[in-house]
Amino acid sequence: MAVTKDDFIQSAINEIASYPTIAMRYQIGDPLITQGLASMAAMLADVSNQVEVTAGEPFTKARDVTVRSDAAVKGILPFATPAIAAIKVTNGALVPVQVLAGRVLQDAAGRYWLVTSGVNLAAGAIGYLTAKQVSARRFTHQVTAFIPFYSIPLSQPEVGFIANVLVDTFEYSTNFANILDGERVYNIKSNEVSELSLQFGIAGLSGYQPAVGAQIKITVQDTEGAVTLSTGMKFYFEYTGGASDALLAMELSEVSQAGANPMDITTMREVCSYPGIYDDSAVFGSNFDFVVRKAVSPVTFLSIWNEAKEEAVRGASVDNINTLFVAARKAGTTQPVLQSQITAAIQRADNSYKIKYVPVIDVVVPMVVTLTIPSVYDSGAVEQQVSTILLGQYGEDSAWAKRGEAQILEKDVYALMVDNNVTALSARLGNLTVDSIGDDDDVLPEHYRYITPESLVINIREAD
Amino acid sequence: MADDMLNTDLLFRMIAHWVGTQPNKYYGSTYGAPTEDLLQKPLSSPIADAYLAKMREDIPVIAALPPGTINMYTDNDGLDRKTIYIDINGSYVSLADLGDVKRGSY
Repeated sequence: MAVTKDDFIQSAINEIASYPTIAMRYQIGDPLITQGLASMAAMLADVSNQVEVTAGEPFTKARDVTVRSDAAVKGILPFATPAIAAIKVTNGALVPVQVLAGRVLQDAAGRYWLVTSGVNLAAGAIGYLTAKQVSARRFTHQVTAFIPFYSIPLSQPEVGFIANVLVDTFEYSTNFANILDGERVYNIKSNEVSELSLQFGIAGLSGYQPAVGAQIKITVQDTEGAVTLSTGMKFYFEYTGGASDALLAMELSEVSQAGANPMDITTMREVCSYPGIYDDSAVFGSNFDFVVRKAVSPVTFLSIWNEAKEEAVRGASVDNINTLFVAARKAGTTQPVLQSQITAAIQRADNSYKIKYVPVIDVVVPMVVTLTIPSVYDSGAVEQQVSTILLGQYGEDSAWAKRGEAQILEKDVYALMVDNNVTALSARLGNLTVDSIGDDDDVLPEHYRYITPESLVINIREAD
Repeated sequence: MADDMLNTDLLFRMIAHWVGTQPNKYYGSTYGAPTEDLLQKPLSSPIADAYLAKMREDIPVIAALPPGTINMYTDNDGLDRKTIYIDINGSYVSLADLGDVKRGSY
C-alpha cells in the first residue's frame, strides 16, 4: 500500500511539536512552513507510488515500459498497418490511359495513397486499381563511423505512424542468426519508449558493416493507420501527368484491408505473454500462433492447430498429413487478404506445411452463476458489478476469447471476484457458485467462444 | 513570545513569499500569486478582488483576520500603468517594492 501525501504530512506534524516556534507558525498556516513540507510530502508520495509498482514487477509486467522493452527484445515493432483499397477508375478521355504502380494519389481528406497494382484503360472504359495508404519519406544517411552493429535512428512522422522501412540494396532480416558474413541485411530495432532504429551487421562475423562515408538510402513508409473510409470517396492524382489524366474519375470501391494503429499496450501485453525463445522460426504449434498473431495484429479471433489435434476432434484423414489448420477473423479485413497475410507469415517461418483455412464458428457460451449476498447490499448493483467483470473477462472483445479453445475455469471466476474486490462477496455469508458453464463437451478448435449479456444468467439469493 | 513571532512583519513576509511564488511552483500545490493573469486585462477591470481572494485562500491566517484589516488598492500612474498597494492596518507596500521585504530565516 503506497503511502499518501497526507500520511507524510501527518508524520511531519507529529514531529513538529519538538520545535515550538515552527509549530506555532504551522498552527496559523504560515505558507513559508506549510508549502515546503507539503511539496516534500508530494514528492515522497510519488516515490512511494513508484516503489509500490516496482514491488509488483517480479510477478507481473506492471509498468507499461516493461511491456515495451519486452516487446522490443522479442522484436515486436510498433508499426501501423496501412489501409488497402480497390479504387474504381473511369476513363472519361478519348484516348487510352495507363495508371502505373508507384503513382501517388490523394483522397478527399488529403491522405496519400500509393498505387500498388495499376490499370490500363481504353477510352471510356472502367477498371480497378489497388492502392495502399502510405506516403514515402526518403533520406540518405552518411555513415560516420566504422563500428559493429552501426545503427541509424528513425524519426516518427509528423502525422501518423511508420508502416514499413526499406533500405536500398539491403534486405530486411529479423535477426543476425544464420546470416553470412557480408550479406547485406538490416534489422529494425525498438526500445522501451518505442523509438525505432536500423541496425547493420558486424564485419567478419555476420551481415554487412557499412564503411565510413557510405551513403545509405532509406525509404520510410508512413501511414495514418486506422482511418475511416466511405465507399464512393473521390481520389485524385498528386501530380497530373497530362490532359487525359484530368479526365479520369477515381472513387473508392472496396476496402480490402482496414488500416490499424500500432499495437496498443493491452495487445502488446498479450502478445508478449508468449515465450520468446523461438522468435520467428516457429517449431511447436504454439509458435505459429505467436508468429501469425504478431504479423496480423490485431485479430478478432485466431486459432491454429495441427494434424494431431484435428484428428482428435474430427477423425483421421490422409489429407491431414503435414497440414496446419487456421481459423481467423479480423475486423475490417476480407478473408482473402487475411488469408494471404497469414499464409505469408507461416511460409516465412516454415514452408513445409500445407495450410487449410477453416471458417470461424461463433459459439455463445451459456453461463449460470448464483450469488448469495447479505441483504445489506443492493442486489441490483452487485449483479451489475459481477456481470461487468465477467463480460469484460469472457465477453466478445476480451483477450480471452481471441484465442482458440478458450475455457471458462471455475477457479478463475472465483479469483476474478477476489481480484476485483466485490465487497458483497467478501462478507462472511457472501458466496458465489458457478452452476453451469456452457457445453464444454464438443469444443472444436475453430470455435470462437464468448459470453454475451443474454447468455450470462445471474441468480441472486439473500444470505440472511 | 507569541507577540515577538507573530506580528505584522511576519504577515508582510508571508505576502512577499506568496507574491514571489508562481502558482504550481510548489510541487502538488496551486499556492502562489497569479500575477501573470493580471497582464493583458483592461485597466478598468476589478482585478484586485480576485487577486485578494486567492491570497486569502492560500494564506489561511489572512482569511482569519477581522474584515477590513487587509486592503488592496490601485493607483493609476499615467495612461498605461497601474500600481497595486497592499495595506495591513495602515502600513502599506506596493507590489513592485515587495522585493525589499526580506524573507528572514524562517
